[in-house]
Amino acid sequence: MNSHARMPKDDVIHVNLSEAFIRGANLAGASLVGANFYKTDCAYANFSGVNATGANFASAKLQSSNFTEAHLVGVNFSKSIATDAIFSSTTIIGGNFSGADLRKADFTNAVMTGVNFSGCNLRGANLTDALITGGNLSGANLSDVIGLTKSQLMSAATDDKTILPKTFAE
Amino acid sequence: MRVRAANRQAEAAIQQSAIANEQAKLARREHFVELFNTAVGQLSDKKIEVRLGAIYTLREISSEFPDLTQAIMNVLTAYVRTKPKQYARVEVPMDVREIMQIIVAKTGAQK
Repeated sequence: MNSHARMPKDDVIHVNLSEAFIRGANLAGASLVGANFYKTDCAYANFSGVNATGANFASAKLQSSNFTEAHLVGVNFSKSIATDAIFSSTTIIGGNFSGADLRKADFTNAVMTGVNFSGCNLRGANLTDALITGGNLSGANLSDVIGLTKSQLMSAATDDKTILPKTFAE
Repeated sequence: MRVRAANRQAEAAIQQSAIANEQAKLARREHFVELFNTAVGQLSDKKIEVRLGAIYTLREISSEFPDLTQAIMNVLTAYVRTKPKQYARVEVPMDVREIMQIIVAKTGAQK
């Protein structure tokens, strides 16, 4: 049909939606490698199954957004507002959630390696069956977190400012 | 002698055909560049149907000329970034919805 040169396979299409308003948008299955969502209002958006390697969601509004089964390597979620967001069955490697608001976020069955949760609010978040290795939870608020076990916590760094669930004191 | 002449004629015909083919390709690309420019202008139209037409045109150009996909994506995402920042959460405007579908379709293949 077209005799012109095709895009090389390793040529990534970059998406810049910084500071845009895309509430409720459906981006399920997209490849958002290196995409820019800085300060974007993505509340209620559907990102399920996306590959967002190296994407920037810093200071984004992500309330009730859905990242189910997303591939999130080196993604920056710092200072984002992701209350009630769904991260179930995601693979999060080397991500940065520092200072993020993750209250009641759902991380069930997520695999998280080397993730920085320092200073973030995880109050009421669901970590049931989540695999956490080598993360940083210093200064994080983990009160009322659901499904968090001591063994999950042992592999992550905490400090005296980390607020642990009350059940851990028993 | 006659065979040699026939061969030369055939070679010339092949060359002419290749030149004509290349000219047709260039003309076709020029036509699409015009369409691209028109579509970009139409994105600022007040009527949603005109803007939607422009979005669909840009999608088609991207399909025909994949090397223009990044440029088209830049135009479409710039359009979304300049949209008014208000609507109820379940009522994603049709133009924004179409652009999101294009992003999924165009980037989905690069996984």
